[in-house]
Amino acid sequence: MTQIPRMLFLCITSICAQAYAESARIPLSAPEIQALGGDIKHGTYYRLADQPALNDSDALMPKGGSTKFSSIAGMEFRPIVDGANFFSTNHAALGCFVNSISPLAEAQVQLPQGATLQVLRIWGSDGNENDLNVKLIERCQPITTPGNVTTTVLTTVASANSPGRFTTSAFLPANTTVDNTLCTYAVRVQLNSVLNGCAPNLALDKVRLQWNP
Amino acid sequence: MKKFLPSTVTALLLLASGLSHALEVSVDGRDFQPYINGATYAESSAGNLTCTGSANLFMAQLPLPAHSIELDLKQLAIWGGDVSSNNATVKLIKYCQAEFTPSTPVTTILADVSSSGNSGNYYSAQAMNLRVDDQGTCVYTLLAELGFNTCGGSALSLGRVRVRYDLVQPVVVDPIFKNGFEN
Repeated sequence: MTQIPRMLFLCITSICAQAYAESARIPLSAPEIQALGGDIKHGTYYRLADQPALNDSDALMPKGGSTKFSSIAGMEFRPIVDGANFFSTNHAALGCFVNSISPLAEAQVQLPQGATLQVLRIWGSDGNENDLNVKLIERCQPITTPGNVTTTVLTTVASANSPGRFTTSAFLPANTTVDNTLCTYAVRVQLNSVLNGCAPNLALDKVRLQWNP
Repeated sequence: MKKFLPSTVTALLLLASGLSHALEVSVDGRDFQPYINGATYAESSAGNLTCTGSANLFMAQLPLPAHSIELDLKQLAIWGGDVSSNNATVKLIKYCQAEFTPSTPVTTILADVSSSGNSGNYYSAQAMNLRVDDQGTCVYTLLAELGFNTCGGSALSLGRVRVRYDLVQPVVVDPIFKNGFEN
């Protein structure tokens, strides 16, 4: 996928897909995998390079006629466990109670094959010293053979401090494209800075993905 | 979310072909999520969504084609089962926020349709004529209420919600060549 020719379509073994991923992506550390709610025994985990210089600069970005947006309301996210402690607020946002087992919830996003992903923007509220973060995640498996999942965090965006209502964004690396042949795409929210139940007064209103066909 | 792709592709194809065509998107009752996620619900024998506890509110995002395709919403329609003195209601609601500055969501109810009577299967619809050109800053959702202020139990269910819409066609400046010989 990212920064790589479409040679992946020619790859039919897990070895090929793995070699591709390892050459282009930054491996996650064990604590980073754990923070993602993952388990290193069941696949490999990577992230793409951060683009901090571009944070929030989509406000200055000209919108071409082909620019598309896909938005996901907070209530579309499904808790990975302990759904009883998650709730929607009165504008379709997602929140959860502090006694929840996990602060993680996820929503799949469907995108056209070959679309170029540009910006992940989130809206929410943060009235707590902890922050919420949202990751855009790609999960890939070999095209026709059994294999573990290769998980890549394409970008991460988070609230900061306790601003109350907020919106913020992060860019994806150039030429980050969608490969529906090998992969699925999802956004994953963590309603806490740490993986230890939910923090109070954090809510995700919505997520918007900006892309070009 | 899983319905975004087909509707987006269909919309793009129709725009490219220059055809004008009424499109529809449906959300299955079982795709709705409880407003409070711990609320209990069940699938009826007809495959519809019913509530089983005290909570009666369920939500689903309406999977319209991705912005920047413009649409005109034309109709909200619902199907289900109603053998109750209570009724099922579905509201089409949009929540909008400023694009690049923090803001409280603005809630707008666009349409509101209910079952009536208690004779079994129901269909109810409301016509609309609403331009959608703001999906960059708004999300469109469906809020189902299975019983007014209380759960209607198995006597009240939601099978499907359908929204009918038209694609907004680009303005054709040249009526003869339809801009085909520009540049």
